Order: sequence, then structure tokens, then C-alpha cells
Amino acid sequence: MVANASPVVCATCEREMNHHAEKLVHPTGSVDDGYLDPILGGIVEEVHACPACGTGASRRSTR
Amino acid sequence: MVEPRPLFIPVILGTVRQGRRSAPVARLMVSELSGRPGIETDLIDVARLPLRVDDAGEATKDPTFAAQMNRADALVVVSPEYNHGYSGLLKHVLDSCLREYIHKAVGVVGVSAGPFGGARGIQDLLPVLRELGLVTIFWDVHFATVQNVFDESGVLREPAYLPRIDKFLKELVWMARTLRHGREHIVLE
Repeated sequence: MVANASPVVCATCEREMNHHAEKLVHPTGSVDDGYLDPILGGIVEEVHACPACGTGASRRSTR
Repeated sequence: MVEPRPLFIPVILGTVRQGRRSAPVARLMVSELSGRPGIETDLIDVARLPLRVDDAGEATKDPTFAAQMNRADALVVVSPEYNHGYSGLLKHVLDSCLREYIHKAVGVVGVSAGPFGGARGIQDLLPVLRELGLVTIFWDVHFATVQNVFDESGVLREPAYLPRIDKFLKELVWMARTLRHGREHIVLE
């Protein structure tokens, strides 16, 4: 798997967001195998928040 | 500490039942939140959310509700106890989001017609809230025999509830401030 090296940028104020959480989720539908973590048994969702405006965002981790 | 922008702490009224006694409870919580400096609130009535019931989870996500959860710093969930549990529609609504909740505070207000103030429903709800990524506080408010607590027009008859609500909200606001700082400034390492 390839690490998510690029920061997430806030869609509202274009500032770099803070990566503050990773949540294991278990999707029921079809999933791109590249996102499945075989050790953890699911998909790791990265959660980010903007330090300027508080907007939240998430993306699937590839770490 | 002065926040750069107000905390947003909506109140979720977690029942669609006709004649629900939880409605004046939710309005009281909104009123108590509204009177605090630096706090914005709103009443989210699950009966008014246009969520599908022929699917579940994030497939049913309502954009307006999701935006409110994204904006929220904390939640107050008003949860009546039905047959020793929380309402199914409340669970359906909560399950429609996930990442919007993570590292945000939540406090639960239990309501019941009996003597336990929704305590059994709250205990069942806590692990659900944890799995959703919310951070539960250690204060609850229990409205027992709620039919006696408010008059016919929904005005609180028992002022003893106000200091309990005050303690609950002080803890919730502290947790909301702390978690906002963490979300926005402390990197997961």
C-alpha cells in the first residue's frame, strides 16, 4: 500500500487540515481492495479538521 | 478562554412518537444552551428529517443533517426510554453519519414516564455513541415521571432540574472546547 503523503486541504478556506483521527470501518458494499487493511480487518478512515474554520473532512487511508 | 467562533451544540429530539413528552425537554435544553455566551444551538427533530427507511447507515444520509453534524462541536441527545431501550428511529438517524461525529462531545438526556428517567435507555445508547466516534460525558440528566415535570403548555414545574442541567452543560461545553482544540491542533501520531 502507498502512504497518504499529501495533506488534506480545507475546501472552505484552503488551509492545511489537521489529521486528528483514524477510524476502522467495515463497509458492507463492494470496496476497492487497495483500501482494505488485512491486519486490521477493515478500512481505515482518516479524519481531518481545519484549524481555521473547523470544517471536517475524511478520506480512506492507504497507509 | 475566548473561542474564535461560537461552539455549535445542537439538541437532537430522538423520538417521533405522537404526544411525545420529550419535546418540552428538548426545548428546555435548547433554551438553557441559548442563554450561554459563545454557544449556538438548534433543535433537530428526528421526526422532521427526510431519512429513508428502506436502507440504513450512511446510505440514508440527509445532507442537511450531515452538515449540522459536521458543524457541531457537541451534541445533546434527548432520548426517551421505550421498553427499556432507546428509540429505533434515533438509532437510524445517528447511523446515517460517521466521520462527522468523530472527536466530538455528546451528552444524553433521558426521559421516561416511570421512575428511572431513561437510565436504562442511556446505558444502552452509550456504546453506540462510542462506536460512532463521539466522546460521552459523565453527566446525564434524567427526567423521571416526565408527565409531572412540565405543565400542559410545556413549562417546567420543577426548578430542581435547572442546577442539574447546568452541571451537565458545563461539562459538555468543557469537553466540546477541549475536543475542538484537539481536532484542530493536535496531530494523530
